Amino acid sequence: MKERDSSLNLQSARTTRRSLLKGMGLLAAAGTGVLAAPHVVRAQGKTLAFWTTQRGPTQMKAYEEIWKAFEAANPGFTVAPQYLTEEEYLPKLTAAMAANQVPDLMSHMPPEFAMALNDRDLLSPMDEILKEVGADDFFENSLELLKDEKKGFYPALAIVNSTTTGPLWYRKDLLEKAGVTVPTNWAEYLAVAKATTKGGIFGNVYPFGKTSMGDKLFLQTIWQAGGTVFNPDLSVAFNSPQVVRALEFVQAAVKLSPPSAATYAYAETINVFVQGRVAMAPYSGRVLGNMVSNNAKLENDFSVTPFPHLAEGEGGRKVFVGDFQSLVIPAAAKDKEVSKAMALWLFRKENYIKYLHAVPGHNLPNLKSIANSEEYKADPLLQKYAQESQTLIDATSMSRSFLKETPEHQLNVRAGSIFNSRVLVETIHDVIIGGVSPADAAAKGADKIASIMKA
Amino acid sequence: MTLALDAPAARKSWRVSDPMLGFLLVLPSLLLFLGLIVYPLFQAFVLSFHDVSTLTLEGEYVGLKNYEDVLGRSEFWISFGNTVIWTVGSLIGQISLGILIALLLNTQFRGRSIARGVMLMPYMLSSVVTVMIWQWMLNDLYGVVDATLMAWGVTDMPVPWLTRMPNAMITTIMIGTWKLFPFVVITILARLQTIPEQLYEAAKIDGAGPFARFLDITLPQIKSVLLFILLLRGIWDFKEFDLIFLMTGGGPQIGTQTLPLLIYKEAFGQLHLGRGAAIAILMLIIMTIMFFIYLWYYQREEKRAAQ
Repeated sequence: MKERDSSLNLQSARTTRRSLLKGMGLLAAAGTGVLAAPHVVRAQGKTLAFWTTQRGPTQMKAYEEIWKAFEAANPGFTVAPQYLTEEEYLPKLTAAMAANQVPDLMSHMPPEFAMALNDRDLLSPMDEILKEVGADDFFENSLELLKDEKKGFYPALAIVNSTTTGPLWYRKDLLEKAGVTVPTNWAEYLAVAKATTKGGIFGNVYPFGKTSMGDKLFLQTIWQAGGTVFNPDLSVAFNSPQVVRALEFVQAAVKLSPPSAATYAYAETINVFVQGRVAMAPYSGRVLGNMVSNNAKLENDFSVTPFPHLAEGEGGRKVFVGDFQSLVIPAAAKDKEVSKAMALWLFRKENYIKYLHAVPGHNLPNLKSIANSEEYKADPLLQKYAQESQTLIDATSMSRSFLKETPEHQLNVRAGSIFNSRVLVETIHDVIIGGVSPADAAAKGADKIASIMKA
Repeated sequence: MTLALDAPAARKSWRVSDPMLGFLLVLPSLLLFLGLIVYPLFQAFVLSFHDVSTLTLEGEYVGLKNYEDVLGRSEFWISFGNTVIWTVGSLIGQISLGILIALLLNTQFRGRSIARGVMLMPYMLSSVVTVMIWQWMLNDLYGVVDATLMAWGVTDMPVPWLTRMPNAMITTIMIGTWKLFPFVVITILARLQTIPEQLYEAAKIDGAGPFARFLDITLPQIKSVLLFILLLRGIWDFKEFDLIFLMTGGGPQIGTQTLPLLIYKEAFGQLHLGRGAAIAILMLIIMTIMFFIYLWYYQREEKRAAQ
């Protein structure tokens, strides 16, 4: 009896397994069919992807409110924001493009990346948006950079106009205590840093981690020494006395910086200043809000000045690296009209100001009408720090991009590749960590840049 | 009585022969293998002979130029050297610590079960969390490590853990060891539990001390597992990306830049997908050589054991 039962069960089990496997096969085929059904694809098409690098909590909240209002005004659409770091922008975009899932709108793209993408015909013209917003309303320095003269259109528009490396934040109380005044050139800067380095506080922070912050700050230092990375015809000018001078300045500044400055990027730089561990630090206007909300006991003890340059008598010049974070529409975006509507939505006065007020002073308006509006100036933080806000605006107005180092320079579409290679900041590493002389490091860097331009 | 006998004639035509059913059952796995392993590998191989932009995926055939470019650059050889240092250093750390902890956890003591569970924690953490914890602890201004060392008078200034060489590589290896050693522990521990206790008792009677017992009994018994760990962890460590990338970004200079980081830099930083693919293929060749060395050694040991 037992044997017969066993035999029956075995047969039954075999049949069941076979049926089950067949059933699973049918289910899998049916599932694939459902996923491939056009209505599923159409439903996915109503979700709009928006990418940005601005991911502070208040900024994310502002974006959510802005896009909720967009969804309410455009029923049937849902906007899905995705927040990325600047370093992630290109790798994520390449993956998205390979998967044919490009975002509908991208904001705060570094202009060097935008023009590299445009060089490969991967961006849509933004001229209609520019026309609708009003070309005269934009600050001129951003428009000069972002026009493709050969193609005759703007592939990107700077959504904001700010500089992270241009402003130098300083502690008024520490400078006063040390008996020094606000620096205006490199010699004074180093003297202040030296005088304020004591009691666990470092006189300055010169971040040179292998990130875009390190690259941009060093680029600015080269410009402020009177040099450039390229000549106007885009031949390499890196192996120059000005670059050597810039490296010597960095060498001296780093001695008075926290030991881990070699790994510092944006977050570490602002944090170390807000915590009160350094007397001077470069950063954007984000410092205002962070200081008030995180270390209010210092809220009256700090201010900002343009980052000092090599004295003009020694060939230095007052110039800053601007961020010019851009708004772009990928050429492969599914519905360009919808993308344009999204872009215009961000430029609407109430949305633009809502975004800027999310972190007052961090991003500055690139529209003159907004910059001069009472609504924009009405923010309590901008009113409290009116002088500092003006300094930020002044520094921004003197900022340029690596795309065109001077007005005489040709547009350098390989600027993004140079940044991505981290060759600029690696030159500092060669000097500070590798012990290479500034002259040799400049020569080595020039070779690396030349090979990137050639590749 | 069977269901097959009861089946109507019409249903018989649906029956699939056993070999065919076997093939059909293997087919999904085969398709997945072809789609997810063979095709990407083939694609990478083809790409490595092309000058392809990562953005457009368009480019022209350039023959061996990518390989010539890569092998002719000192950066490749420095990155290769760094990969070897990281892999060997990390393996030594993981295996040494792993054996030590496995031996400890194989002994009887109160709270052993909890200790076995806690030991797995680092392995369960994601690389991002691991890196954040360690970067926080090693921070020069508010990290607990430097604060403690300075409080004890060991050092006057914060130690540049990640900003100087060879500190950065040593620190990265130590953190890698901390995160990855539990794999060695669980594998060795499983083997230790199968070693007959009589062997140790007999050795004790013969007067063998703890070290001699380890050398003459434990080590030979866990040797095959160790070789297996060496192969697996060797391959995994050789292609480790996230931990190193997040920890140092390959710096200072290119002091901790390993080959996977160089691939990332070429393919996504410089947008030279072909050159990135060439480095990936070179890595594959190196790992294949490592595998064949393992296979040769394993077979030799098997033969010796059989004799």
